[in-house]
Amino acid sequence: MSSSSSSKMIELRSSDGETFHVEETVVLQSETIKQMIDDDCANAAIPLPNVTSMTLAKVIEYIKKHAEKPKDDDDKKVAEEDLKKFDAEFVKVDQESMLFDLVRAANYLNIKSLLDLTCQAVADSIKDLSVEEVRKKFNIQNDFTPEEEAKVRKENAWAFD
Amino acid sequence: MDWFNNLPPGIIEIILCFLPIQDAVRTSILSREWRYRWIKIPKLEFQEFKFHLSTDGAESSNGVADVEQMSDQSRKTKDLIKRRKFFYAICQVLLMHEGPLREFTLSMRPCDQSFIDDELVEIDSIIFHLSRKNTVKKLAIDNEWEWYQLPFSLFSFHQLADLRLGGCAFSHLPTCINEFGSLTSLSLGAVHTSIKKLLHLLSNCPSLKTMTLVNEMFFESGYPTVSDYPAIFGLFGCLPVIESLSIPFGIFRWFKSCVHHKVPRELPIKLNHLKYLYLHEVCFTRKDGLSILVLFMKSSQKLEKIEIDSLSVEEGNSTEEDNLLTEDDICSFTLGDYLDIWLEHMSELHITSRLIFGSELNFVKLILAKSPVLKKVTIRLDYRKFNEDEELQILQVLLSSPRASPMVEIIV
Repeated sequence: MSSSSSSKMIELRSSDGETFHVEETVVLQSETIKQMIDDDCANAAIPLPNVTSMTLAKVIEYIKKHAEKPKDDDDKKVAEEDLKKFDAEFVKVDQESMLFDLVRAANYLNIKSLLDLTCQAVADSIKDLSVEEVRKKFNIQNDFTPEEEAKVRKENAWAFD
Repeated sequence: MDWFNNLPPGIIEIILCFLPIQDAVRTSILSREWRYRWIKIPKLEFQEFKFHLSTDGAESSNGVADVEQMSDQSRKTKDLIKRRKFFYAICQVLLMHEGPLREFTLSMRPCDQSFIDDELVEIDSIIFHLSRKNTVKKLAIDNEWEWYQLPFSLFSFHQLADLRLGGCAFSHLPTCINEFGSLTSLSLGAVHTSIKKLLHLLSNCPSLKTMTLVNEMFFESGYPTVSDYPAIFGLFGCLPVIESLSIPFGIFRWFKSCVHHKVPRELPIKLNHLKYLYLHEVCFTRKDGLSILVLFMKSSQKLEKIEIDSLSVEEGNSTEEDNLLTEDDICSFTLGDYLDIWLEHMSELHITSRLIFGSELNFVKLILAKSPVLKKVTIRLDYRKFNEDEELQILQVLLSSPRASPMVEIIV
């Protein structure tokens, strides 16, 4: 089965109606799609109503890169380095909203490594900001009264030192 | 609109897991909705060296000179305050935490012995608390070199799949351990114990797939005696489904004084699932060096990969001459003596060496002759001690040696 499936193409359709053709072996990284294929629901194009074509294109770029298999240990080390670089570049998106789209897509498609990568990137983008900066960046409305805010600060005083 | 509101359930917790715990807790101040978001994170990591407390700031603003002038006493006091704050934070977080906690890491840096006891009691309470939650799958406790006596409550984590311990002591084990039935991965670094206790522990971990012993063990009653030598091999009898084994050869070198200890003919059980073996600090100059490796080869026919890090003569125990191989021993090696070895799946061998000793080459020859699907052999040499001629010589010896696999690549 594996030999014949290596060249089999799967068709994916994004929420805005664009279709993408991806090798089955590549697309199996998505647990969600794997399940559909196992259930024999992949004969026609697989509709992905939650993923836009722009996001889907990025996801496909990611899984294609991660499907490349190194031959042996030495290659593995080189490939790992290469993959690390790729991952670091991959999450440097122009707009923060793209990162959130990718988080949602990775979750929906159930691609664990992509979910971890994008969640880590969101966390990194929060890490070095002040409270005010985080609120501004992600449009979080501060609805605490000054008294409440002081209380929260006191409650977790050790973290605010 | 708060960007995070659009995320599916559970995702914010994953994001918060990637933040240092202090940053995660600080998100409580963002808004009412955020106030208690952090308390549901499934993974908590407390690493003292990453922990920034207000006293750190004071230190840097005071400048180096002040720190140097600081008396021993005041440094101790400062360390004590830091550690108190660290434990206070842990308790505070655990008090607030809600929902299943899957991973817990606690790592402490070395500190002054004089105030260590109080903290150890607190670790006991933390472990007790976690054991009652009984949701933890991965637990790591690292107390650098300061023998933390593990409490009995550690042995009631029924869900545990991954356990890493460093700087801990198993001096008292409950006579009846509740089996760590789900434990698949165990890592021990610098633990203080005895072979008997280790045996007791391992015999209660029937599902172990990965075992890593990082450093040599430290023993309660000095070095093990000659009569313990068979017991060391007994340890492997507790690992029926082990797949990956990483051990210091040092566990066999504990037996410094005994001359004629015998390597058993085989391990207590066949390690039929073992695929990966990593032995560090292998001492090929010892009489039992090659025999111990052969023992593993005999007992684990599914082996796919072996990695070896070997010691040079000087680093090995050059004093114990009785245990060292003689030139005769090395020359008397013949492949014919190892008819019962056949490694059907062996595909890679990697050796890092500071000195290629005759018996080490014999080992490589043995692997070459017994592994029909071997793909790759690499030998990394210490370049300070080798020149190209020697490399070429090694390569020539190996290339002229019989090979079972038609496609092996040898890299020196």
